[in-house]
Amino acid sequence: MHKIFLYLITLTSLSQALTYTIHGKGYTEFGKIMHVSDTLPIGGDQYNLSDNWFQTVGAQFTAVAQITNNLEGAFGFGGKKYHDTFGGKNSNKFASFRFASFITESRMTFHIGEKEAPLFSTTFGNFAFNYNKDVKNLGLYMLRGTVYPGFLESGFEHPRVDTSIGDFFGALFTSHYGAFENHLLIQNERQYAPRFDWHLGYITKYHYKNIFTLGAGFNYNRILPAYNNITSPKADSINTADERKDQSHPYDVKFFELTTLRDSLGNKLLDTTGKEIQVVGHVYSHAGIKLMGMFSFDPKPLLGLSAGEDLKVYGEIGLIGVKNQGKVYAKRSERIPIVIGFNLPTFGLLDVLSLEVEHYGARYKNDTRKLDYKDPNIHLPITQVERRPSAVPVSLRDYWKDQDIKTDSLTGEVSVVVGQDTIQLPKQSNVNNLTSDDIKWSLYAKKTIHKSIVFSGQIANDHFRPAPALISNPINPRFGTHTVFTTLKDWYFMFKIGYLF
Amino acid sequence: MGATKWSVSAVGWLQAGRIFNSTDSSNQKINNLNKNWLQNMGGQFTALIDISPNWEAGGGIGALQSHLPLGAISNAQNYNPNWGGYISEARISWSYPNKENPQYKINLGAFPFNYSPQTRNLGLYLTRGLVYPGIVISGFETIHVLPIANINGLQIINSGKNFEHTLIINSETEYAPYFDLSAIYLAKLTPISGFTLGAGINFFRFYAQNEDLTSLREYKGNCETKSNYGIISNENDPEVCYSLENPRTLLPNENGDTVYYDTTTGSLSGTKLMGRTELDFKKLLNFSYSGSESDFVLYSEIALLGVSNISKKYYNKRSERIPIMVGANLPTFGILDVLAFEFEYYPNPHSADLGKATLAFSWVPRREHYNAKRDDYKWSLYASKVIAKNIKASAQVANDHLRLGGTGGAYYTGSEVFIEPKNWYWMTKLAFFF
Repeated sequence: MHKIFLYLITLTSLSQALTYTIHGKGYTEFGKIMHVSDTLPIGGDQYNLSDNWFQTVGAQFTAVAQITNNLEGAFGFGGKKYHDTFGGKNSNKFASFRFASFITESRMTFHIGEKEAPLFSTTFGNFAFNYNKDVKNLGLYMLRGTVYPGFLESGFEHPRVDTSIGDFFGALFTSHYGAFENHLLIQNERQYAPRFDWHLGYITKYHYKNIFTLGAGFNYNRILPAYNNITSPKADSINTADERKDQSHPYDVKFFELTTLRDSLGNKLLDTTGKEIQVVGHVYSHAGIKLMGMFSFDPKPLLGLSAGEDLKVYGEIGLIGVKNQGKVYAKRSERIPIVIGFNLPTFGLLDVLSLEVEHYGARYKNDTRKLDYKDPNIHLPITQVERRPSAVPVSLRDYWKDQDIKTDSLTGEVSVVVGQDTIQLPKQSNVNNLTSDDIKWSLYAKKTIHKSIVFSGQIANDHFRPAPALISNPINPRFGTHTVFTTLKDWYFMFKIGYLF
Repeated sequence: MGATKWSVSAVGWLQAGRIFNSTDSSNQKINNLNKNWLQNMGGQFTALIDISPNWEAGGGIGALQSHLPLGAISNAQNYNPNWGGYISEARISWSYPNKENPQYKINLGAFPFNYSPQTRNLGLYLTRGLVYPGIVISGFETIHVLPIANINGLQIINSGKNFEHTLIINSETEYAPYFDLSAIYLAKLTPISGFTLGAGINFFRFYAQNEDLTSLREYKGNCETKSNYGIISNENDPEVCYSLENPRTLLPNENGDTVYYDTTTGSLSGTKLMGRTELDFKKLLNFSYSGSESDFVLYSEIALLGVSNISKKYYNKRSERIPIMVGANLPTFGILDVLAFEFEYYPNPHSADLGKATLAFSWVPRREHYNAKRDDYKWSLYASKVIAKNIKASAQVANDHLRLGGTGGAYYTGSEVFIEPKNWYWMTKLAFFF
């Protein structure tokens, strides 16, 4: 005990001579959605995000304190002024500026060996961690998004790509030994419900002379749930009355499937009124394992060219959920995102000009609202059970509540009967079998001058989730839960000017 | 990055005051602002980064705790403090030939701009407020007279020995519809020491992010029904996206007379003109004075808010769209840094409420519920003193264009607190800065 006390005394005395540096950045960013296909023909014009402008200004400060030769602490905060997307003319007046504050970092790091590539280091707290720094926009599947459903994340200078903002809360253990680099990660879930679950991940990378890098990893999402009966509900704790009776499509279920009891001969069992006896079938769990493989190849050293980002080819592949579960997650092939990136040669004109293309065959819309149930109008009437975070994708029935949905058996076209009207849904609105959003692409450029001033821009069709201004039922998109780009025709551009110090 | 030179400035403040007399209680007891106390506090940090002899950058963040006014006593239980943040600046600047004596300077991003540094309260018509309707803005130390970003866009400054040109492209972020672009040009001439002439033009919202919102030229329905302001309720006003003008009665039918109107459409965009002068009698008369540098300065500003007469009913007389202000920095012989008295005359015959413009995007003035002729005169007495180099005390008594949020959870309407000559308030502020 007295040794600990002496150690604390030593730390205190050292802190009197502690050195620190302050880093910061400020930026102005703007852009425009040039085309979206999914303008859902209901609920006013809030979904029509075509031609919507964006503008954001922000600033942040971070202090990094060198406490001892091996111990470092960092803390910072920042804020940004942004606004809702406008939607159309009628929703425009509800768009307003907002201010968001955030913690850039709040961490302690202990390391043995070289600080940049330590033999061993451990970091606790809130900090930035990017295992694939080649990624400009698409990728980073292992640590971004969810498992069931397999929602991907991306966007212009996403917080997981921009390492000036800490987006990882937990602990990181790192070791560099020779050509190998290893990371053990313990992360707390704060972004998506159910929150506060713990993930366990591991990444290993092999570097060959700055020419080739090969990496692999796994992330056991929600290995330690905060509330097990929310993350992986137990069948015996569920009342079948809580589930939706009409399960004409696998996505229609809330969080478990109903199954009909059968006798030993396979005949359906009926109750005294002649109805089939239904019991709880498969219960969907949020917990699952992600696998990741990555590579990077830089031919410049082989060609005797100077350093830089040009000509580098990189890629990443993921398996979002090793285990099949229920009717929804029956095919692994639909849970494999893959991205290939190439840094185009700019001959020193730019720091980087990167083209990335992604394929992901998930057959549902990248919309997290059912995960969080932020829209009180989904699944009426609401009960506490129904508001449980669902590991099932959104379905047409979720979007259109209890209205009559019809599918043409010949053409596959879907229509919805609303009152006296029949609305023919465009293909990209058919979230029950959405394949038109499988391909994503991004072209990113960046140029730094005077070491401090950074210009960057991007045109892309990615997983951008803007937060539109208020509007009406049945879908309230103000929380920015859904990606707005659902066909190859959709795209946007962003531009940013900032400085670092 | 580590070798970059930078410095940090900061300010923290406490502010308190009281509305002593307010006539406009909007016929609702809930909005009775008489005797209401006002209070806020805040702080901000701003970093200035010295990148090279030509380049510099600035960025900062601030936060403010404020509250809605109490309104009537019966509503006082709804009094809540609010917490908000803001970006004090986020800019990159390039100067030529150097930062110290720039002939050319370009600012890009979000940054503060004040073309009339003598202005304490009233004025700054070119860059504050709207055109149609002709709303002017003022109050106690608004962001437009403080080092807080009020321009988002591009600024190019060309400075010479006796002149200065400024061109600004500003993205509208203060009043909806947002992101419309305005182009502003200002010229400043100092022909002799102590005498400054300024003029400017603002093509307000010359580029609209959504033309249907800014300039609804063609009636497309859905704007003539009552309560169409969206958030402002109980307003039976058919004139939102057009005005009903030139009423005429045709032959009576069997049900009685039928009145027909011309429906005139308009726009939130328009052109502002501005002229101003500044006379420093210390320099003009060349007398030595040991008091504040601000003393003995007389300044004035005049503007035309909307060059075109776009409506016979509302905007037919340019003379009704000309605000003019005169200010004088009174001598205090070193007791104070500034003691400024400002007076304004603006014969706008319409309501000074900007809610209809910003919530319904209407260029038509809001229907006045008071005698708009009674608010033509505004005045302000402002004083400040820096103590011990890092503490600034300031105070103001005024009848100006102060606008407060709705009381007790009532919706913000954009109405002015002071609409008659007898209305006034006072404010004080104590700030620490470095």
